[in-house]
Amino acid sequence: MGVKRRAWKWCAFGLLTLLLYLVESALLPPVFGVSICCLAPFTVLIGMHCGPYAGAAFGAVAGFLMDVGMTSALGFSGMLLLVLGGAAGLAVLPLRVNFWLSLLFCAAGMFLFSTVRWFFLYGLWHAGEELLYLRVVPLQVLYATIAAAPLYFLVRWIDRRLEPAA
Amino acid sequence: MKNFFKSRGFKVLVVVFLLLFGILIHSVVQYGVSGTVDGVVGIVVTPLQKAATAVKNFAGDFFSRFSSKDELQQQIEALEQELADLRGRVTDYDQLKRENEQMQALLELKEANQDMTFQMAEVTARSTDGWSSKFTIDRGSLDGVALYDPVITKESYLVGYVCKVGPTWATVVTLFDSSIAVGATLSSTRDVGTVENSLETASEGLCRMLYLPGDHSVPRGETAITSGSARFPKGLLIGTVESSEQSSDGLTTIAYIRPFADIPDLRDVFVVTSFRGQAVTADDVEDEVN
Repeated sequence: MGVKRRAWKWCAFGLLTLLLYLVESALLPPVFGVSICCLAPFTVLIGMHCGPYAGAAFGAVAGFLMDVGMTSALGFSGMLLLVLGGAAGLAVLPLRVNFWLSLLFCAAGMFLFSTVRWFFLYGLWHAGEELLYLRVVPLQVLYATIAAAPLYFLVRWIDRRLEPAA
Repeated sequence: MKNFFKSRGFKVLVVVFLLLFGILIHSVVQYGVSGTVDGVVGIVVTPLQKAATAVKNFAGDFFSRFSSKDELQQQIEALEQELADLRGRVTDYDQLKRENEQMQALLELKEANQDMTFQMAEVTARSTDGWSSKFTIDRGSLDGVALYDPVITKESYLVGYVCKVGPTWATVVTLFDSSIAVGATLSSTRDVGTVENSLETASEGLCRMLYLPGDHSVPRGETAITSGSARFPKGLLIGTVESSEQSSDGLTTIAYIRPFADIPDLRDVFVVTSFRGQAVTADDVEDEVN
């Protein structure tokens, strides 16, 4: 029974990953020229609620989806989100996960994710445009933090609802 | 935490990480060619993206019907004014002459396009990283789409080119992406340059035309068209010059061009799958670029 419930939980998170990918790539329009990223905060939240292994695994999948077709550096976002999801899961081991801590982690996670991607995929190849980093990345962090609020409750609800009782 | 790093799960994650790293290296080396993994993933997610885009377009069309009455009234008044102006000007000889020239250009463009074959495609997804301008279309190598094929609108406005091809999908890099480079000519002066972009100019909805002669400024309203190469057919409309300035070294002029194509809101595009003078293979294009 417990195994079945857990399988349903991972299926639900898998479908949610695909749904969020479709929402951010095809549905959500850019706001002030900056697109809204849902998958990075989602990965952090999975890591915080379900542990480092789940965070890393879902991070790898989510990052890979983000890269498909859109960049010649396929797998780069997957590597980043794998590390980010795992690190979020490890970092909260001695902590009690709550709403505000989740938002803080999502904001910090998105900041790191955006900064590393900016540096390797854009900043390194385009000198003299460093100031634009200040225009794009803070907005990305803001949007991700806003997106993290409903995602927090959704992830927590799925986790509690479908996690077998100890 | 010590247990975590000694666990079997951690070792699996390291293997996954290394696998992704391998894919990364492979994709960087094989620029523009979709690998097996992303090819298959693309086949699965493209129809889903298409469905999601259809939902978004339906919702957008539905809510656009509820524009305020005042706004519509203003639009009607503005259009009526514009119509009156146009009616007044149509009797003017210069206008007629200019129209004649425009019609001539259009005819030439149509005649020039006779050698082209097209593949119509729908935009299914857009890049979300904030510093690239790419989108995915629902046509791929099975439909005859190839790497570096130009992408245009139905009005023959240049949008960009195909930078990656999967079996049923392709990624298009647009004029607003910093990796774009298109050989271009100004329609009246015949000055030749290269249309490129940066994040800064793209954020203002503009492109840069570089390497124009530095001894004169470029008149506002001048039209930029493709100059013709193995990569882009000659005469595709790129945009109009908004402003120009001397480059920092004073040797060349930089023109800022507003593209004709409404790239952020594109729904349907045409991939030029063949044209006279096109490179036979992607390697030919790379040779030409190099």
